[in-house]
Amino acid sequence: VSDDPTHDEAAEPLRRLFAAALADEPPIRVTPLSVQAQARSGRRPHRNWQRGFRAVGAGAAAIAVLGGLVFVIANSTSTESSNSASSMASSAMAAATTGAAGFAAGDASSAEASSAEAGAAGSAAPQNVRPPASSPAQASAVSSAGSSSAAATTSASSVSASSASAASDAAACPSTTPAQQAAARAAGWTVAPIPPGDRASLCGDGVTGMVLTRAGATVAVLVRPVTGGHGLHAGDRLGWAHSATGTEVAVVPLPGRDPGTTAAEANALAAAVLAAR
Amino acid sequence: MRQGGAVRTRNESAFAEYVMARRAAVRRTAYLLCGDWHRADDLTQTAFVKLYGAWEKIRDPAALDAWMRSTLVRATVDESRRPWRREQAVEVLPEVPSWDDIGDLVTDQLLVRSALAQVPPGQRAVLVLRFFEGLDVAATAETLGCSEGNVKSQTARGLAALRAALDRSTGEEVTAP
Repeated sequence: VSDDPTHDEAAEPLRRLFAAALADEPPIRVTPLSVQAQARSGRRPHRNWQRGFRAVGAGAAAIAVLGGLVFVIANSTSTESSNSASSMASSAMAAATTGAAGFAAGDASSAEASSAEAGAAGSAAPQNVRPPASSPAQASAVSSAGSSSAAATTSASSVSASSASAASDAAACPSTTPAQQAAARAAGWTVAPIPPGDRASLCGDGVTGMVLTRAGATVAVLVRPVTGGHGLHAGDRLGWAHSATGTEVAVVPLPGRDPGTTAAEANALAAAVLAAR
Repeated sequence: MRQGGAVRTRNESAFAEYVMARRAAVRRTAYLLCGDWHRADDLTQTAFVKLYGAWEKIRDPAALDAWMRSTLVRATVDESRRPWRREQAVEVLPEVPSWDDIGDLVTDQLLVRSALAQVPPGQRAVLVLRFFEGLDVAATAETLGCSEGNVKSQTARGLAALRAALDRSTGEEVTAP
């Protein structure tokens, strides 16, 4: 094939062939007006669907990737949280069951060691380790918690809360006055300050208190100015007394310990403390 | 503002004149490229719409035809690549002429059309540009955006394909009862 089609041997036959193909030419529909109208309307003569599909596909893929990422993160977070919760419960159970005997026997170190072992198995376990300075009453609380998983969880959370707040509320629950303590002693009770582990649940604004013990009985006596509301420990108090001058005294049980006293005795105790003010 | 309007009006009228002068030739080329008069109308319209958008950018009036040819070939080849436009080569031609006396082959439009349809779009574009538009190898290469060697090889292959298609059609027709 030469560069000049006029001299190419194929040129003439092809021209005839093309002319034959064009023999039945119909009327043309393209006009300047139709071209200008389409150009001004802004319609694209040929939509590039492939480009559109590509853009939609890329957008869908990006959304899917983002959604998958969010799902994976959310899933891992919830799994971690549930694992943490279950490990807390299991480690609390382990601490309660294996360390209960040690606490009950007053051997805090063995109980702590067993709790630490349980903590090694669970990530949140160290938070649930009972402080070694716990009182025998608290040890009995843990002992009772060891009897069931629900009790263990409740006890573990209360222990955790009390140990966490022990330092902060150490000065938030001052002792009662010497006259009030003397009145309690006169009634046959032994007086002691409220242990730090119980202050979070017993003390509040303006409350003073003491722990009274006698054979087979342990109660807490709380004194505060009356400020309205439902009264001091209205729900679980054993006895209660209040004065017209705005002071009230409540006798309440300590968590997990047998109060060993009747309502009449508690009311009498409260009245004696109130009078000794 | 008025001057801009006058320029626009002048451009519009020049564009309309160009469309009226060239539309038939452009459509014939489009038809030879695609083999269908309706598609040829669409391709012609497409090419002129694109030219309308570039009308004021083309400074050299002599370059208009080359620009149109290039746009038309590109639009045709692009469209022929779309799946629903893809031509399918078949063993038996769908439209076989029933004629007892085979005279000159080029007088039979159906046969020519069928033979052209069997030539691949790229090779067909080279044949149309070289033997219908009368472009030389260099101009064809510039229009198609490829090398001259590619134009030569595509020309040779296109001619071979066209001859084979014509021979096949003729042979079938001759042996047909």
